[in-house]
Amino acid sequence: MADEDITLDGQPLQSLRVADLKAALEKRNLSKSGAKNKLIQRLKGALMLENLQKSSTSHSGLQPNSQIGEEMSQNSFIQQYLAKQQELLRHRLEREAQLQEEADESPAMPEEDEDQSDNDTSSCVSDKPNPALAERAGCLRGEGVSHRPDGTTGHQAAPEAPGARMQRATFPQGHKEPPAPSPPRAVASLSVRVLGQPDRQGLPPALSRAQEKEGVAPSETGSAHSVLHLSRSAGVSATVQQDSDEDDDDDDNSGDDEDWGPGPVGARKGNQAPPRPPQMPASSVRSKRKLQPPQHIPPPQPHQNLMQLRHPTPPPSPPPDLFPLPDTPKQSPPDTDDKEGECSGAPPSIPPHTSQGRDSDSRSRSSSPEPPVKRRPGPLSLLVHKMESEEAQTSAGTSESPEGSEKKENEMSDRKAEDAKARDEEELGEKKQAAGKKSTAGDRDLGSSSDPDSQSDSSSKSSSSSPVRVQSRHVRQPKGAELGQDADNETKGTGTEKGHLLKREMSETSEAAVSEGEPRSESSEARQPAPNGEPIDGEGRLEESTTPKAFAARKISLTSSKTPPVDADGGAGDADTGAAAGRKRRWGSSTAVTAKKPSISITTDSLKSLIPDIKIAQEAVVDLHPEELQLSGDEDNKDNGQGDEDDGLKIRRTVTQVVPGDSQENGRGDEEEDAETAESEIPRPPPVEQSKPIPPEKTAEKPDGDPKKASTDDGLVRRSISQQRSGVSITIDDPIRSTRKPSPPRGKLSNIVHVTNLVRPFTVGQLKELLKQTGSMVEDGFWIDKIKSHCYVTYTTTEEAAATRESLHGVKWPQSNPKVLSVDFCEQDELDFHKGLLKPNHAEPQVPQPAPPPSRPPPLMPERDRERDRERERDREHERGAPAVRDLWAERQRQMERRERARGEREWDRDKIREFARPGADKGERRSRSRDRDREREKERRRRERPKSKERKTDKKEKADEPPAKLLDDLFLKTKAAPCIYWLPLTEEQVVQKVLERSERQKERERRLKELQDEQEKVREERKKERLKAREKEDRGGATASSRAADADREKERSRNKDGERRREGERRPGRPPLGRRSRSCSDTRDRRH
Amino acid sequence: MALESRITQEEIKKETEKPIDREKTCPLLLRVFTTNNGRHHRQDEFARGNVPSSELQIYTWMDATLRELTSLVKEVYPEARKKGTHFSFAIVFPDLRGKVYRFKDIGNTVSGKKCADDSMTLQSQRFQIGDYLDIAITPPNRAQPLGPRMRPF
Repeated sequence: MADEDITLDGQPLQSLRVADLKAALEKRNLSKSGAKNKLIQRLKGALMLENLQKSSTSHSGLQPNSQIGEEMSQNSFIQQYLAKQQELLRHRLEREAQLQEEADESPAMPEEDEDQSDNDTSSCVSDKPNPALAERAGCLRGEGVSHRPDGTTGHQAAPEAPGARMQRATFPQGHKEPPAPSPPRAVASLSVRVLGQPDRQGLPPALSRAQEKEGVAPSETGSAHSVLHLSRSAGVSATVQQDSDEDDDDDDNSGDDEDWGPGPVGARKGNQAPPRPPQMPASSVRSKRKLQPPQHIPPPQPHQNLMQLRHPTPPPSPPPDLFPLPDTPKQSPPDTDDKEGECSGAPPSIPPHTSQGRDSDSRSRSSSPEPPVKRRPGPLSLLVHKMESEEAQTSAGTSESPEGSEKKENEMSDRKAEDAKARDEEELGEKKQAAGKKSTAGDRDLGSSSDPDSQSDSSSKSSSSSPVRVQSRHVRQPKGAELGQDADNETKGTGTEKGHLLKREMSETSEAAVSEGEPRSESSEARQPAPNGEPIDGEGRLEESTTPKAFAARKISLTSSKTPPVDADGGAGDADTGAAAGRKRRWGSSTAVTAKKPSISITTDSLKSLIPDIKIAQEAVVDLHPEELQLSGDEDNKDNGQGDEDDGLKIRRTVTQVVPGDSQENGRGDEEEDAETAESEIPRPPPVEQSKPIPPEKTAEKPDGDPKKASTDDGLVRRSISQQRSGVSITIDDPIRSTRKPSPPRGKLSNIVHVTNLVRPFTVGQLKELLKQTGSMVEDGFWIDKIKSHCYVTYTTTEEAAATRESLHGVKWPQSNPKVLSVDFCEQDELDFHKGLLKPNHAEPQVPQPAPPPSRPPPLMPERDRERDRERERDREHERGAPAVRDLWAERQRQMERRERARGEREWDRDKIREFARPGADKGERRSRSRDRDREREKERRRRERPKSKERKTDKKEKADEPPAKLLDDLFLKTKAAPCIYWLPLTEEQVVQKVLERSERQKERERRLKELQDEQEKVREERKKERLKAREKEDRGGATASSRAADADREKERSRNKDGERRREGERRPGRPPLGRRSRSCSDTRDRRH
Repeated sequence: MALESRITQEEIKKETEKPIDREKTCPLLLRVFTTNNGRHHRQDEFARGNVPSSELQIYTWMDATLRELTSLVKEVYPEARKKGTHFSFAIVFPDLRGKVYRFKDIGNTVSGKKCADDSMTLQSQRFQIGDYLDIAITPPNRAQPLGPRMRPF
């Protein structure tokens, strides 16, 4: 809590530059050596002490409660909580004063302080979250209550300067772990559901911080906001503070954290774990969140008693309902505590603001290298402004938030440095203990980082909650170690302390294991807290539109989770501490951790099965995870920018990613330009991702590729986790982030966003709700395809669109979605095209482009193409450096365009044309690029062609379906007979033709008649001749008798002939005339047929 | 030879593929007689000016395909829309020598499936205006109704 609140001149320590940090340290006569994290820790401690001194008198019920009252006064629960918290704070202040004295005397005291700080953070968080939680969910309340008590204790611890330092250092971690998880979870669930929650959450932390650091109030307020939002972003500080609160929550939230994502989960887990051990470690955690509050008490044995005393009072009254909110505030308070502890340790007298300013400096330094810090400033500033306006007291919170950021940074990048710093601090004296704590914190951070991995693994394996628990245990152990031991000796000392804690909390883990687990747990805690904070921040961001910052914080958390393995190597060194922590976890964890893990896992599972509320929390966590993931990405980016050694290793991965991410966020325009320009496009690492978002039409293709790409190591783990979680149960609207860093957008920054890879089931209303979380969308600018696979969303501003992309790109939503959402910017033309308002004119611009450099596939938007053409032309100019060439090209392009237009822009010819148009003079690079681009083009072409072909088909169908325009009755005349027969009058031509035919037939008939007549006449003539001959013979022969007989024969023959002729004629007459067409044709056809 | 072959092909095309402008060519009245038992009507049912009672009167053109006719029939007989329903087409024309009508099978179609005879046109089967069309409809899942002995003619 204190960590978050601690601020230098109103800036969170994490956001301060190293130079600023050093300057601030100089003012306090503290050593400037060490990594940023260490510096920040020192500053925090000093600031904490200062704040405690200042606020000790005013702490009670000042800021946190007042803030809560203002914000959450709506709920009676909250009010009660506030009152209780105030009381607790007063008690805590008193106790803290005592504890500080004790802490100065003995390390054990610091532990107690830490616990207290945790409690304070939790209490603060509970107060703030309580309203929201009470409003949103009663389940979370129980957790919140437990946290609240912790928060109160934490406040008390703050006053204790020496102990506070040590404790604070540890506290932040512990606080971060426990509070962060619980609040984030609750917050997550709440925030996801309700937008307003994040703000509330932010306020509560500020309050807690304010309580801790009264003097710092103005800056703290800002920091508090920042903590809320930044807590996630800052991760370390926020997480640390939150951890204490989260410890309780961690048990409950462990599952949730896992749900969120491997990275964040791990961080949360770690956060949760650390707090638990001090309080009631594993057993309480295992027992359940409800038990957690008591757990917080136990971890620090001496302090535990105090804590217990404190806890009982605060938790019972307000915490239960409010917890989620309190958690966030708690997170901030731990930071403040840490800062205060540092401040008190070195220059307690220094005004909080000054200390804050120093912190801010240190933060700025650390932040400069760390991406999250950079991002934080924006959200922080926003938050700060809000906080300031709302509460003057929140200044402490702001200081805390910077501290939290610093802590995160330290944990992330400077953990190793912190260890070194911690050693330096040890040299300093009082600070030495704090340094030890810090170093332990750093170790914890490292461990947490490593833990997250293990957690992520475990989560991926099956139960995410189990890993979280393990981490929480570790964290607890480390806390104990921190209290009693230096960074190096922390493990052993913690082992003893842990042993106590473990005995109290958990007899399961051996001391050695505990000791090993402690550093790890600490690191995990630190990391975890960050994630926790991130989720919250993410929510707040979403609501506030600070999404990018929140993302950064989330990213940071993720990086921490990712980085852990790397850190494991540097366990001894600052840079190596993180890897060492991871290793330690692995090694030590192998004995203690492994044993713990299984038990934890069982508990989580059992809890899940037994308690439905847990599921809810998980859901909430899931929601938060995406945000965390994003934040983690940002963190990575920041880390990369910072270039810290340890963090650098972790970050480096992220850095590469981060750079694109930054470019996306900040330089989206640049990216767009790059995309536009073939040259710039090539260098970009994630072409696939770009391609994915760009092609709106190919949703399926893109989604497949995106998830694959998106699924890095962490992504895989997260996916598995998310899947598991989703299987359990999740709210529909909670997006799960599977990818840390959103790939750079492919399209130009615009207010129109294209979301692909949507997979049902989900309703358009749900989708809109999700999209509206990051901005107000233009109602008529929304378009989704029939199968709800991709949609276009128009936001009122490009910032909102960017925020949407930040929050949703690479996110798994709905949770049943096997793919990862791909979000990219697009232009109005694309939207219009899908809306049917516009048809794509890709071919024209594309074809003319000789563009060897056409890295990109032909854009759907003609404008883009034109731009590309211009770019290509520029490129050509650069290459050739000759304007004449340009002219030639222009001419060529024109010609090509003409040709294409003439052809009618056949899509399948585009490539040919391009190739033809391309100058062979293009360089090899361009060619290679062009190849890639060609591929992309082909893909896009296919995509385009598909819809077109569909259109064609539909057109055909339409034509076929078109009913005959005219009916038969309209076209033809018909007879009146029963079955009517349609007929048409002959046309003139037909009439003429018919007449001709008829005349021809007539002629033919006549001709045939003549022939017949001729034949008959011939026959007659022949007969006459024969008769004449016969008579002549008879006359000659003289024989009358013979002649008579002959005559008789002739007559017979004549008669026969005549009969024959008559018969023939008779046959002909009945039949139609020989020329009759009909009869002929009929006979012919029949003959043909048969 | 080459010339002859060309000519023959052209003539065939003209006869079979001669496009018909259905808006300018009067439709012919096609009297369709259907049976739902898979067998064609008997010859004597068309004798002496008698016709079967199950008559459909379709105004169509000479380029009507069997598929087109099938779709028209299915519009009238919903039971014929079942997938797998078998349609057997035959032209019924009067025998010049006697007062008897004769059958000529021209093709088969199956609803829901593509058949080789789908694109067969009346014109290609030397259908003459005034001829009848007899369609034997066989419900699906029914054994081939026409055994060797059951030839309709």
